Amino acid sequence: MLEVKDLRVSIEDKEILKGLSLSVRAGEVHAIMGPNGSGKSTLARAIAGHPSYTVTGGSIRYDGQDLLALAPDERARAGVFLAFQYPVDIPGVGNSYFLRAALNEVRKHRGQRELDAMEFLDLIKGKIKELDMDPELLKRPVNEGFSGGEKKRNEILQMTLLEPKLALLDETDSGLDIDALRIVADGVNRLRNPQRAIVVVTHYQRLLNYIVPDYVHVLVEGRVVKSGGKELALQLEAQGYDWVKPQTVAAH
Amino acid sequence: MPSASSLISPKEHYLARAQQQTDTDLPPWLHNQRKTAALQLRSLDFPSPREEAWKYTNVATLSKICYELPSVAPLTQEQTATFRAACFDPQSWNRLVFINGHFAPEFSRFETLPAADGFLGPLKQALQNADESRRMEPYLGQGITPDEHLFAALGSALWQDGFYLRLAPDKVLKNPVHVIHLGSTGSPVLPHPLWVSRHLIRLERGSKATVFETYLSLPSESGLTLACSEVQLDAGANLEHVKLQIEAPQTDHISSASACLGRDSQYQLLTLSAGSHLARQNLRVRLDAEGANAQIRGLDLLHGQQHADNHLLIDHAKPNGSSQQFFKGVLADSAHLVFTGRIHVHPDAQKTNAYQLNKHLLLSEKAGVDSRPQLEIFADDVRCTHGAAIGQLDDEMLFYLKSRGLPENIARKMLTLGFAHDVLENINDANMKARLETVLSDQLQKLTHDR
Repeated sequence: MLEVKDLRVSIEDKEILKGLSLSVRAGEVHAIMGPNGSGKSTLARAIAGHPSYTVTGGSIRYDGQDLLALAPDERARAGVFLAFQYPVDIPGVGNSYFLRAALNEVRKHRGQRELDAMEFLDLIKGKIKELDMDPELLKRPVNEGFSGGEKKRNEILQMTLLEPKLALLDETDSGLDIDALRIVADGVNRLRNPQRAIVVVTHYQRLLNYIVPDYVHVLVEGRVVKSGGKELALQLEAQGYDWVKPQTVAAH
Repeated sequence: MPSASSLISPKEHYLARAQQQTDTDLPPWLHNQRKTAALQLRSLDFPSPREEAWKYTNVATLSKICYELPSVAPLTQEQTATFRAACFDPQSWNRLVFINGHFAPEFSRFETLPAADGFLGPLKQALQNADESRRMEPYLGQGITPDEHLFAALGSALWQDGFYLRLAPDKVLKNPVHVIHLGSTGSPVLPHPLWVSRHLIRLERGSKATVFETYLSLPSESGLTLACSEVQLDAGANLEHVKLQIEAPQTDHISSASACLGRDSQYQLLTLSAGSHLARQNLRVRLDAEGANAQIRGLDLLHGQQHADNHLLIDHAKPNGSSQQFFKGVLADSAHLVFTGRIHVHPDAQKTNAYQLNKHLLLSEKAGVDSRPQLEIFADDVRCTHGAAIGQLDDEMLFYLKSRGLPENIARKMLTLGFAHDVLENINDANMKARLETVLSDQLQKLTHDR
C-alpha cells in the first residue's frame, strides 16, 4: 500500500530524512520508533504533504500512485490520514461543522452521498461515545480550549469518521494518561482491518502495549537502521536507543 | 443640467443646490440650521490627507465630481428586484424605505405610535407635527455639526429625508425597525447621484428599541451617499443598532453617527461594511452620564480596490462608564482599511473601563491596514486596554483542514469565516443574525474565490 524509497526530506534547507525506505502492506501495523530528532514526525508529515517539508529525493508510492504528485487535500481524499502530534486550534470554526464538511468531501470523492446535518449527528454521536468524549466538544471551535487528551481523542474521532486506508499516528500517546491512552488505543484497534494500514510513530514503547504492531522500525538520523517484530520495541524500551546508534555508524 | 454644472466647481455647485433648497414647510429653527450649514459649506474645503483625521483617506477623486440630488421617480423592475433582495425582515417588523433619499411610502409599512408612546416615521413628516418638531430641536443637528468637515456641512445643508424614532419613557418597541436606503436612479442622465439622509433616534428614559439600517444600491450606480445619524439615549434607555452597508462597487459612502448616552443607558452598534469604493464612517459616542455602556463592533469585508476608513471617538465624560470597541477586517486584492480608535477619558470620568481591539486578516500581499489606537486619559482611576493584530491565514491551520480532505478554497473560506464570525455573535434577533451571516458568507465568496 505504501512504498517509501530512498526518501530525502529537508526543512529550511536542513536535511532530516536522508534516504529512508519503508514498505507497508494493507492490513499491517507498523511502528516507527527512534530518539528525538531522528525524523519520525518528519516522515509522517511528509507523507501527509506538510508544506514546510521539502522532498529533495526518492519517492512515495501509495495505492499504486505517485503520492508526491498529489496536494495534501487530494492525499486525504485518497485515504491518507495523519493524526497530529500537536493538533492546532481553529478559532471560529465549529468542530461539528468542520467534521461534517471533511466527511462530505471524502464521501464525495468516494462516490458516496453527502450526509445532511441530522444524519451526521446520528453518526457522530455513536463515535463520540466510543471515545468517551464530551458531546459539548462538538459545539466548540475545533480544538479550542480542548485539553491535551481531548485534542488527541478528537484526532482519533476524525480518523474513525473518515475511515482512511492509511492512518499515520504521530506521537498520539504523548500527553495522555493511562486511561485516555487505553481509550485512544481501543479506537485505533477497532479500525484495524485487512484493507487498512496503520503507521504508529512513537518515542515510547508504552503505546505499543495497546496497539500491538506487526513490524517495528528504528529511525536514527533520518534512516531506518533496524527493523523487526514487536519484540524489538521491548528491547528498545529495556536498552534505550544507544545500542542501535553505533551500528548505524558502522553500517554506513 | 450636466453641461452647466461641468463649468462650475463642485463646491459652487453644492452651494447653488443649498440655496435652491425650498423647504418652506420646514420649521424656522431648521431653516436657520440649513442656512448656517450653507454658510459653513462656503468656508470649508474638501478634507485633505494633510489633515490628521483624513491622513489615510484621500477624497480627491470624489471632490472633483458634481454630484446631483435626484428627484422622486417610479422604480424600474431592476430597482424593485434589488430592493426586494434586501427585505429579509419578517412581516411583524417596521420597515421604512428611502429611495434616492426620498421616503417611499409604497414600500414602507410601520406602526403608527400613539403620541403618548412616541413617534416612528420619516423625519420630514415628523417635522410637520409641531410637538415633535419642538422635541427634536435640541437634538437634530446637534450631534453632528456642519463645522466639522465639508461632508458634515453638505449633509446638514442638503439632506432630503431620513427616519425619526422617539420612544416615550419606558416604552419598549417590540418589533425592530428596518430602514432601507436604496440609492438608485437607474438613469444615465444622472451619472453621479447624491443620496443625503439624516436620522434621529431619541429613546427617553428606560425605553428600548432595535434598529437595522441597510444601505444598498443598484450594481451599476456610481453615486455618493452622505448619511448622518444622531442618537440620544436618556437614562436607562437601550438601543441595539445595526448598520449594513452593501452599496455598489462604484459608489462612495461617507457617514457620520453620533450617540449621546445618558445615565446607565446601553448602546450597541454593529456595522457590517462590504460595499462602496471608498467608505468612511465617523462614529462618535459620548458617555455623557454615569454608568453608561457602549459596545461598538465593526466588520469590514473588502476586495478589489476598496478603501474603508473607520474613524471612532469614544468620549468618556462621566464616571463608571464602560465601552468596548471590537473591529475586524478581512481584506483581499489591493483593498485598504484604516482604523482610528480614539478613547478620551475626561478628568471627571473615574472608574472608566474602556476596551479596544481590532484584528485584521489580509488575504493578499497587496492589501493593507493602518490601525491607530489613540488613548487620551485624563483621569487616574481607569482601566483602558487596547490591542491590534494584523495577520494572514495561518499555514498550520490551513494544512490541518486540507489534511482532512478539504480543498484549498474551501479551507480558506472556512478559516476566513471563522475569523470574522465572532463579530456577529452578540446579535440577539435570529432574523437579523441570519441576514448578516448570509451577507458575510456571500462576501467571503467574493474575497476567497479563486485565490
